Amino acid sequence: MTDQTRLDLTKSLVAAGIVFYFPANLLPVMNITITGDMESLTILGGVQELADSGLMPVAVLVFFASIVIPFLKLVCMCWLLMLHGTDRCRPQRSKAFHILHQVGTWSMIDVFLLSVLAAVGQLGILASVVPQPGVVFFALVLLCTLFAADFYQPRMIWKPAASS
Amino acid sequence: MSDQENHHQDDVMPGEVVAARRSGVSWAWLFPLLALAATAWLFWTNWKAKGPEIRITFATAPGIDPGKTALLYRGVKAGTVSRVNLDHELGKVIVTVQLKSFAAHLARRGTEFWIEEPVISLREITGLESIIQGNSIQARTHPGGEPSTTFEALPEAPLTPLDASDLSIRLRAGSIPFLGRGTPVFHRGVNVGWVRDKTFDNQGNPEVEVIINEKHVDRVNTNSRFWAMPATALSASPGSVSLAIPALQGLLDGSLSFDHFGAPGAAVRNDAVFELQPDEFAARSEGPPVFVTFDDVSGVKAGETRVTCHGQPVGLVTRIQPRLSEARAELEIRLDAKFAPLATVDSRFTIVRPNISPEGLKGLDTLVTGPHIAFEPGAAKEPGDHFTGRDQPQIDWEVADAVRNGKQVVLWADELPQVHAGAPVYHHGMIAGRVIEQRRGSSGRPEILALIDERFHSDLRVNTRFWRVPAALLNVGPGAVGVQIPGLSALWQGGLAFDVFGEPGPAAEDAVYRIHVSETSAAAVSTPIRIEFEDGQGLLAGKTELRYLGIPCGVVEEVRVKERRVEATARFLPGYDLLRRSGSEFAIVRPEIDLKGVKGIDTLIGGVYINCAPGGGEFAEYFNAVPQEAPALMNEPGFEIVLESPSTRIDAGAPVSYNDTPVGEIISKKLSRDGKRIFLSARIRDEHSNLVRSNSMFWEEATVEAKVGFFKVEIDTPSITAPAGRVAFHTPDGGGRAVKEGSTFSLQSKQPADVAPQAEPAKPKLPFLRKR
Repeated sequence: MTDQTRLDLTKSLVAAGIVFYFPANLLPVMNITITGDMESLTILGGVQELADSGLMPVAVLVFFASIVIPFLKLVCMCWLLMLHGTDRCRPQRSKAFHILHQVGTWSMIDVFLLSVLAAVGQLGILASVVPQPGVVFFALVLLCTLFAADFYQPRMIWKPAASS
Repeated sequence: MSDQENHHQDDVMPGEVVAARRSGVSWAWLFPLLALAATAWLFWTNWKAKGPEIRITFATAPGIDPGKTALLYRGVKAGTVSRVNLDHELGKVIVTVQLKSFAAHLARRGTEFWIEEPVISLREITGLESIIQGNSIQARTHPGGEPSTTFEALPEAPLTPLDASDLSIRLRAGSIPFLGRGTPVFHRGVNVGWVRDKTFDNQGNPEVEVIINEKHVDRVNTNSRFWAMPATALSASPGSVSLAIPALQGLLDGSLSFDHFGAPGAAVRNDAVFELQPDEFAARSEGPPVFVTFDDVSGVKAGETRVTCHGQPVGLVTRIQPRLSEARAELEIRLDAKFAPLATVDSRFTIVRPNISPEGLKGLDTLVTGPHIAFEPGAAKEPGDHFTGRDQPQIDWEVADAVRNGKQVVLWADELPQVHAGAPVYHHGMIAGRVIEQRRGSSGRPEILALIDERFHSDLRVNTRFWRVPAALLNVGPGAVGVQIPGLSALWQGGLAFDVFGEPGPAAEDAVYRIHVSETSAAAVSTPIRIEFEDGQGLLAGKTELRYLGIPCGVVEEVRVKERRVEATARFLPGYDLLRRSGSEFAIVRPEIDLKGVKGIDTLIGGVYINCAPGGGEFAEYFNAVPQEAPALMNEPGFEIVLESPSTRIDAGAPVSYNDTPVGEIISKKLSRDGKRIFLSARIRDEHSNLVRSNSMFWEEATVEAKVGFFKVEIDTPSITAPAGRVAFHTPDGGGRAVKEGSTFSLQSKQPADVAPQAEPAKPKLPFLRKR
């Protein structure tokens, strides 16, 4: 695979990730039904729910893991792609990319947790958790950023600016 | 800078090796396109599923949450509450509901919305699912309304959430005490509808709005009669009292019922008005009104007082109209349609009231049900509608009837008992006749004229005896007090009775009889005996009984004073002739209360009686009474001995004990002829008689023995049951001969020294206590 292909793939995946980011955050990710009281939660709604119920550390964790980090990943990727081919801030870019890659390994934890919750939380009339379309888009955002980060190689940062 | 560099990059220098540039866009850009397409599709379907937004105004909106509360139509989620606002005056709640697209047709004029809440009452349990799922907004629509987005909600959930094409009718009555929203309406036992509302009409009369289910609409017609069934009905009728609970549903409010009793009428339309009858009987009484006037209608109630024909209810008094000009009251009566034709011009209406008189109880059922009106159909063909009612006639005992086939009997007594005309004359418990009148006979003595039914003529013999049956009879016998009430009718008046005692004599010719005071007196037909008493206190001629072993066996017929003594003439009942033999003993039993006990306590209530004991000689006429304690009268078998002593405190009634066990009793105390010695007669019970041997020793034991010692005062009380002291005896082992009844023993004043103190308790020998 040529670097150009990698670059194209990375760009398109980042673009797709940005597109998916909106439904992922606007649509409900799950329906929680507790004793008949059905609640449809978006990611932000879930964070707010956690904060309201006093679980502030968990709310902060989920807020960072599910909203801030995907957002930062997309922004970061955009920044990398924008500066691609230039020789500006190369050490910073390399550093950022490494952090991105490290964090990326944990990014699917939300989806994993939700799938576990949906599988376990089937208590009939008492409580049930049903995943909603939002989670698919959320997973797609994460997959896009994951693959984008994977296609973009760190050496491409150091590639000479002009093909000289 | 970068632009410049890119620009440089794009300018391909000649001679350089450059990767082949693909024309057009890279295939990789398919990803964002797909992402866009998917997102767009998702938002578009979401938008498409949205129907119009409607605004519903509620007075209150409990449990309505924006974003959560669903709008349900036929159980399907047709929308979601998106906003809840108050209006400017804070008087209404405006709920905005986002309908789903498939439910867009709900946004039409005529659609009704209400809040479904759980209602749990005895009458109904609805909205159970709202307990789990929270309150919801429910909708019901009529097809074909114009589109609209603002609605006014119903204040309450309707009773029939789905079918809107039910029949709604109105029932009116003067007052509707029970019934409420949700009260079931029955037609021949089938629940066909509900009460929707209870309100007032324009004139202020209470009105019930009833919903009849669509499929039962044709059960209602113009001839339908509606009536209320109370929650529980207590109905009393002659012969039964029943408590009816129509249905558990109706337990709280009762229920409504309707039916048509004649031919069915035409179909009815919505909002038809019917009269609500207070009960089924009133509903059935739908004949044309007839008017009856009465002098006195006290106790008659409109809507309650029934008209009966031969005891069967056939109609109802529906209205009472006083007619002041005539000082009468006019009743409007409606008969059951089946009986209405019977009201012809010569029909009779009579008020029946409870009638308690010496002749008996009439119309007793009206005590419970109130008076009713007896209707006697006439024979005429011409129907009538105005009648003059009769008050209940004083129904005399049918004298004429009895005279036809009865036999008149003249009964006399020196003092007539309180017997009124109409009082029954019993024979062996059956009513054999009636008293007709009390009169003064030709000879001046009071007489009662009675009629005896022909079936009992054969019992009127020359030796038939009549006696008075009191209203209530108090029987006091040994150990038993009984109150006997011969019959309910006799409770008011008493009566007379007759019977033949002994061999029936020839049939009576003139039928004149004497009235005896009591049955015993009447039955005492033996040859009279005369008994002389020193004291005749308590003896009553005709009342005082003679008893043998506690059983009444005769009666004192006459008491008079003869030579400073009282002479009582007595007769015995058949079968007690043995008491007339010489040697028979008679004693008056009076109540006696002393330290030794209580005797003759029954005479406190029943008066004194004469205790008898049979003798063995020839029949005799004159007897002398003996004291109450005479041996023959004690009626207790025993072995009698005589104890003699120069002086003793022991009195009759003191117990005789052997080894501290009572085995007999002193029955009499006599002074010897010379006055120097005292003879005590003791009776030892038969089972202990063998304890008395020729060598038995008798001594007195005082009741309380006190020994005053140096350190103590010892009080010995052998028995507190014998406060007057007792006689003890002991028989040494062996040597004694059996003694004859009546043998005499000497009574020591103290326990002889050679008699071992039997009462000394043996020292307990308990082996396991030795170690101590």
